[in-house]
Amino acid sequence: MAAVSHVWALMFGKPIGDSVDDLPMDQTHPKFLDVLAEDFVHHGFDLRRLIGLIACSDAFRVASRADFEVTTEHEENFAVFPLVRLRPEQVAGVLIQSARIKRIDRQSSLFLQLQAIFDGDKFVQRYGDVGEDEFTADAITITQRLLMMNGGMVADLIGDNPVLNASSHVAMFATDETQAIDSIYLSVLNRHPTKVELDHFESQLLSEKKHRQAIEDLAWVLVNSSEFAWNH
Amino acid sequence: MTDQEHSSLCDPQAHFGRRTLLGRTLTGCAMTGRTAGGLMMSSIARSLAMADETGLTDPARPKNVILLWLEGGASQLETFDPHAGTRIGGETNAIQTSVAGLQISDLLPQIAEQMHLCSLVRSVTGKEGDHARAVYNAKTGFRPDPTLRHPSVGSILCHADQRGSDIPRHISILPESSPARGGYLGAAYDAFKIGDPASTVPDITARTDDNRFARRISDLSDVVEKEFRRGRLAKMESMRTLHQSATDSALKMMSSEQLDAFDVSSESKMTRDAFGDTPFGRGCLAASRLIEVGSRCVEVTLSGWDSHVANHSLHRSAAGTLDPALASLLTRLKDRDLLESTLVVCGGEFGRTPKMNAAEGRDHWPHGFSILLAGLGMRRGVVYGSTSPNPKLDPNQPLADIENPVTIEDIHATILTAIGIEPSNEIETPIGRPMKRSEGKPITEILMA
Repeated sequence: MAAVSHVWALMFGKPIGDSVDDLPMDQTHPKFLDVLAEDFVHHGFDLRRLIGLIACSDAFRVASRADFEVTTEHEENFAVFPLVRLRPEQVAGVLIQSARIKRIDRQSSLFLQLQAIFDGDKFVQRYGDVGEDEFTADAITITQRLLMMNGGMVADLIGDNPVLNASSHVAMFATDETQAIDSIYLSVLNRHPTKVELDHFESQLLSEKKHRQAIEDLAWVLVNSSEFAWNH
Repeated sequence: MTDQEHSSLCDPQAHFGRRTLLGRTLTGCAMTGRTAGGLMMSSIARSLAMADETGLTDPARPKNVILLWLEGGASQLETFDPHAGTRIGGETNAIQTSVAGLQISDLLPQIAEQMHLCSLVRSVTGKEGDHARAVYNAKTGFRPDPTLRHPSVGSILCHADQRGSDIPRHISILPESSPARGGYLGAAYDAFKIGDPASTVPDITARTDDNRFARRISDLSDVVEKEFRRGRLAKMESMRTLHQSATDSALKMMSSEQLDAFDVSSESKMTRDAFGDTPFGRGCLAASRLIEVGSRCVEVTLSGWDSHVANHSLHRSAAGTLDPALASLLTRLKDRDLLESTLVVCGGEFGRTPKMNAAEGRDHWPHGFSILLAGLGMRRGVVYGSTSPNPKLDPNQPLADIENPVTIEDIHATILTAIGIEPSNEIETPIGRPMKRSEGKPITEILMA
């Protein structure tokens, strides 16, 4: 049961009850926890299977957006996906990845892998290492906003770097404004822009003489958004 | 999360809107004191003028704390509790202070001149002998507990009194390994961390020109954030992310005149020299300036006390940094009428063993060490508790060598009482667990009646 609770918390960014470890003896817990725990035991404590089962659940696949007014009760009852802050190392990881066209993994050059590790560590130190408090539902802090708005790592990753940076590649190779905006949205937020967003940034890009700079500005806006820093 | 916590990122008294703020940035700060060539008072001069006007008669003056944190554990024998000429005294001599009959270490000659402003507790005891655990204990007043993290004094103070400023109200200068945390009060109460005030505050300057920065911010708030909120958790901002208010606070800080308080280079050379040309000296000077413009709790860390070898030379060096900084801080606060509203606490996680080890060092010793308190709510020129000049050092009776022993928890209860917070008051943690502010008893002997 405790193992299931841990995996659940890791995948959702928050525990089912008040705490990951402190499972109350005298209260009922959701029935599906029993089902998952039983399955976990029956299949020889197969973590892969457990993760797969949770990933297939409606609760995990549901969006954080709905066509009704969303309240915390909806979140608690798995009607929508809970809005949860990413952990500092996750923010560092996605920030570094968002600036690269190719996936950074073990196949990447040693330089890129090391850069991801060292820059990531430095970033986490400033952003705030949550350590044991990793599942608390804290809000964004002033330090975090300053670091994202004015920090050196963000500036380096979105700035002019024709060899490494996604924003420079987009500025050089996108065939028109729509494709440029779409590519930046995909590399930073992993989605296409909405119509409102596309219209706004398209007219902005068309009126802007410094094309590269405008694309860099768009990348800045997206990495500074709530959508970037929160699991949704 | 409580409503109080939501407002913690905003200044409830003077909340500039984002547009007002950007408008001001865009018009080039033409109306601020910074560019008006001395025609207008600097923010500090203005705050001081205000302080003079309100003066001591104003009971609603905000209460402040400055913590000078001696990380690593300073030896009581080389600082505030020398036993010169005894078998435990080492090479340290005792000198007379401004309080009749009170002697402290000769490594602290300038502080000796200011002891009439201070209360000294020489009988502090703790139950933790490991750095990390003892630091947690000393900073929060609770022993480490795997089920929750307790808030530090600064966080409690900022949580209890929400009066704000443009700059963070809780600041940790040279935070080393243990900056003050908000604990169960939330990350909004974590100390804002800065390094040596000789360099600028990190990440405080926009990397683009004003026009471009203003457009980035409006694209963020008016387009992307709005789209994200659509159809998602109602009250997302106030109930969960605080993204906009944290952004607003960060912007307010970026353009605030109060930022000048971090910059000690504007002080005269004489003042800077008086505090000492060290990161800690500059930190103490900055702490005073920050309190003057509205920060509520500033901690400044000085390490270099962990003297398992060469105890005397390490302490000579560290005390040489502490002495001018603390003495000048007390004098400055007094001169500016801030000592009445500001509590200065100086201490570390534990003391050091009376008995020297084979390497001429002293090891960790939580059984009788010293903490100095001065200012707000404290009696002046008093000493409480003492350690024996000829201790038996019986491991089964560590308290036998101490007169009037008090605990770390008692020190916390005393600090809370001084800043006007009842230690036994209970507060609920986010999961509804009732917690006392402190489990100690205030030391009434050093508190003003």
